[in-house]
Amino acid sequence: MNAKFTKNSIIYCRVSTPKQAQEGESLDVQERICRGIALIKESNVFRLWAEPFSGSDMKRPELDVMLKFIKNPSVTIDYLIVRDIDRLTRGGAGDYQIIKAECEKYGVTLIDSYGLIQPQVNTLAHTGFEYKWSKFSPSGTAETIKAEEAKNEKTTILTRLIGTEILMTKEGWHIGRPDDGFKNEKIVIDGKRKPIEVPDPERAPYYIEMFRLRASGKYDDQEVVDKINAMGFKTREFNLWDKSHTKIIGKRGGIPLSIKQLQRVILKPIYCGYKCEKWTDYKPVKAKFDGLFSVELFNKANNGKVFIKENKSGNADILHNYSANGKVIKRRNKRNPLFPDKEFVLCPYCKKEMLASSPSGKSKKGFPAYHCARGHKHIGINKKTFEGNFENTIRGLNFDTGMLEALKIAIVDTYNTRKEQVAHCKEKVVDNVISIEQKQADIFEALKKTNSSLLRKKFEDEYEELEKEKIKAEEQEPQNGINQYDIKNFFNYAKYLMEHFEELLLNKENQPVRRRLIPLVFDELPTYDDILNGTPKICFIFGKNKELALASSLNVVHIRNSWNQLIIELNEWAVFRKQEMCAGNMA
Amino acid sequence: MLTKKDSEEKIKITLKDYGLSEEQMKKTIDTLYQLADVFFDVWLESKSNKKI
Repeated sequence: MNAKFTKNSIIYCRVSTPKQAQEGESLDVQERICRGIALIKESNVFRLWAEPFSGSDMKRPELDVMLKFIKNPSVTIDYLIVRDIDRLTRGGAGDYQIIKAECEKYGVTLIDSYGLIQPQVNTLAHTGFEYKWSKFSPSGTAETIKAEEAKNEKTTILTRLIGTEILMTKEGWHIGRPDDGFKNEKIVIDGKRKPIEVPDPERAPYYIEMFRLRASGKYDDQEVVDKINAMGFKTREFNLWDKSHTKIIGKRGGIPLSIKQLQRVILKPIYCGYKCEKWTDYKPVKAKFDGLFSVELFNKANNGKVFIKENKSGNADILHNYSANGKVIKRRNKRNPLFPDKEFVLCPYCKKEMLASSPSGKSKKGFPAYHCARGHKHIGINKKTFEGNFENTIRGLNFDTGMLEALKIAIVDTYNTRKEQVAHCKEKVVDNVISIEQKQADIFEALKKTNSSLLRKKFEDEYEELEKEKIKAEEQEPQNGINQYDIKNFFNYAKYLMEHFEELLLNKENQPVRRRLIPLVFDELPTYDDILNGTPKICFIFGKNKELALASSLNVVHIRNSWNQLIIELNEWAVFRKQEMCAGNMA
Repeated sequence: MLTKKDSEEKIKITLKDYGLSEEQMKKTIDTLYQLADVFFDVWLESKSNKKI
């Protein structure tokens, strides 16, 4: 503050967006210019207000504070300095006059750095008299025009900017913040820079895995979420700003994936290369860049909830609750553990899945039963009878031993393919666990150094939270991964499963496995009548083998013998490989 | 290493005696692969001392 100056001024700076606050004519630049004007006017800058806010809005946090201050200043304020009229308002002449009148009322002269606003003059000054009407602002008309221009300028700027952005979005270019899993990039086409999204190497694998797991149909949403979180997924972090949007006051995000969020992500067609948003009229537009995976995987992961139907013409339609037979999918809770066979046996009349419930009688006791009455006469079967009959059907199945050789080839092939996937997943989980342990070590160090009980409590809580996260991640880690010797273990286990195939099909505790196996056993799911009559359409791999059905133990023996032969072959192969490697080393 | 296509050819030779049509053969191979896939998952889970 300069003691020689007797006058005081205040400064108001504004930018439209936080981005503009850092680039373009920033708040700092405006402040510097306004301070220069204050110096020319030989006044001290008493206070300064700066904000990133829309100028067309009269209700602005910092402007409100400033106008209040003008009414009750702690010292006399002579000038209000702004860079330009459009910094004060873009609301047109009306808004400008309100602010100007307010300033004049309290004796504050408005000054802009371009010198457009001129001080008032008394038209009767030569007579030595002054009236209300004789006070005249020579720049009044120019100011009004400038204020109106500022308003129109906004319309012009936004029309040009947003209009172009809308057209580009309709063409399939990407405007705005990148979707999670992508990053923004510009490519040059015909000498023009165009915005696209490219996969973010850090985050894209999470999204690919999310869709892959959903599409596999092997896991429910909770299991998918657990697996993704175990890989170390955290939502993106965003800054939280203060009211005037000039200071970061915190962060949001950075939390593990939740089921709700997974379900939101799964619906976004951008991940398979289609844009569908307000600016495309919610119609799918093929993006000018590749998605993270194919449309097929997207459709499979969505299971009809959102279905992208690509036409031969290159266009696509988005269908909701789509099913291949054109019927609207009704979603019911299929997973009532009390009725585990509900989804495997159809109603003999309508050929739909049986319904099931436990109506209570007079005694208030429930009577669980499988039933159906959808447009036909009611059919109801006691739970025990129903499940008993289905169990008998399953027990009558036999794996065709002639298929064993073929199954072995499929098993070796599957082992090799899946081994790589598991290794990749394990790598991610291990990285995550290491990073959690590192964080814990940091907290532990901080804990040792602090004496404040409040901080200790905070650190302890954080440590415990990380411990829980670590345990969850470790649960998802395939134990010890898969090593070169595991193929033998896997074969032994597969042999065990083949010998106890029946138990696997009847183990109601492990419904996800039954859900995958039982549809393989039948060519088409049996109706309850098929079960009763012993005429279900069984896949011929599992067809009833008359001789072996009579002596199922013989079947087991056959499977075991055949498998043992394969294991002997495997051992021989391992010895041969070892000898080969030794010979290589010797050489 | 054998590719999936090679393995499928090997399976086709193994199942030659069944006299399956092209469609039936495709379905059978698909079923066998799905079965192997389930076995792999069950084995993996048993390895992690989880279900089954």
